[in-house]
Amino acid sequence: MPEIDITDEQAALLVQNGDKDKFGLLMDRYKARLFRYGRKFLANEDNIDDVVQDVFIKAYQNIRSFDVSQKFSPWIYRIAHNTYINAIKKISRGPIYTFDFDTIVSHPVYEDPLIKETEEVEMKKMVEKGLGTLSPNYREIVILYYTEELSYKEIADILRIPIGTVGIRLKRAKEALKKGFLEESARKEEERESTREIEKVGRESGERKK
Amino acid sequence: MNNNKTQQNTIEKNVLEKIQSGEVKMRSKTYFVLKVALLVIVALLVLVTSALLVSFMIFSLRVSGRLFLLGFGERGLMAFFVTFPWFILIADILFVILFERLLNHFKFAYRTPLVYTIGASALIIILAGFGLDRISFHETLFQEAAEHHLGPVGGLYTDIRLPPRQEGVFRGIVTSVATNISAMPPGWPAYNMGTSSMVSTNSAGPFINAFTMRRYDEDVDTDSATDTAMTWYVILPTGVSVAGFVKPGDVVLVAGDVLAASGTASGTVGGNSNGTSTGSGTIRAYGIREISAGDEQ
Repeated sequence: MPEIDITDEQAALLVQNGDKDKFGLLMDRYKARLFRYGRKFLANEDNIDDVVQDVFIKAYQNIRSFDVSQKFSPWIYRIAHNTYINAIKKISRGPIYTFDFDTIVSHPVYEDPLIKETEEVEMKKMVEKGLGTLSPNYREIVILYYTEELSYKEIADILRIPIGTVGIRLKRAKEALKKGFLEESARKEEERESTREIEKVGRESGERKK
Repeated sequence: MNNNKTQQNTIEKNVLEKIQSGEVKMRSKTYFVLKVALLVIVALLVLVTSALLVSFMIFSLRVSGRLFLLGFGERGLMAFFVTFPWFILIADILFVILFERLLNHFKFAYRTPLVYTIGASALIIILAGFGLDRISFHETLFQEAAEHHLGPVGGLYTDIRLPPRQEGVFRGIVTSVATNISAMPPGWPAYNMGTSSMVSTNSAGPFINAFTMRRYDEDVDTDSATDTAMTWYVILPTGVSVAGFVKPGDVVLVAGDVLAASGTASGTVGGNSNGTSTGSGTIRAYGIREISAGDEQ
């Protein structure tokens, strides 16, 4: 079977049965994604190479715990999530996440494909600009949804939280991003306005001198 | 961009080299099966321990008679809260949280909101606790403890029926009844007849209704003098007549406060002592319940 036709799950099964080379295929498919996820999530981490390498080593060591009847991507992202959290813990003194009250009760979930499509372009722009302003738990969920394009269900499995919590956390992150984006736009508009004012005053005083 | 690709390729090469050289090895399937099995066993142990604590709490409330306090209004409720085994309840809440954390390793649990998993865990534990209480699990251990077969653990059981120090429920067998007395008998702590709400008045002056009882515990050897040496003088509330209500030989539960006491109450088990108490005291009762009627008339 050509490698391109092999699904992630089939490749994982072959690795479980001893075909070590097929792990290279899985790494090929996930290295760029895990790098991107790591870079955005661990914004202040210098040794991103070591951390991503650690993810793949852990994935290989634990691959026999993967249930091939399930999807492979949430499984490897879960390993990445844990490894990145540990990396953040090493460099930060305080706790990474405090208790999440959104996990206590259920929240209704509705992914509207139409809204998702129209919002996506706008949100991706905001994500690029405002990601750094979000707290880690909001930042991660935004990366997984908008950058890695994973579903609510997959994100719930990666973060081990109820699906409704994914929805409510994403909603709050979007609101925070939009608020930040609007504030930034207003600040820029004010700056432009004051520049125009200065230029106008300059022109007028120049004309008077003439 | 090219730099990124080079970085990624280097990582891939490094990892594959480590795999090929055997430096990095796959863990066996057995390792993961054992890990899950261990998790399940620990979760079950936590569940059983927690259920045991719940059932012990129910058993101790029932056997000590503290549940009976709930029938005596605000005073009873206060005494119930003061004497409630809060430590067991707090320990049990911690076990419920631990059980929920262990369950959270499984998809069905982490996908469910916390309020439902905690609620379901608590419900399972409480039902299992009631189940254990129904099958007389603790009754058997209680008997074993009374016969000194449980070692230091037996202290948990024998302490249940120790008389409380200040307020709560006192279990006793009525030894004598005194109606309309105007002074405490010789040898008992003095009682102020002038101010207490327990005092009634008739043409002859203020009087109280009272009875004496000695500590009673059907599960310990009643022939042993030390086990039953604690004697209480129980003063009844105003308007409650002793006549026809309690008689010598009745086993009663008394809800009340200790006004004065002398002697000791100890719960040492494993040595010679078995929840013994000696001495005497006065209880101002606000509730009395007959457990069993005596033969004496």
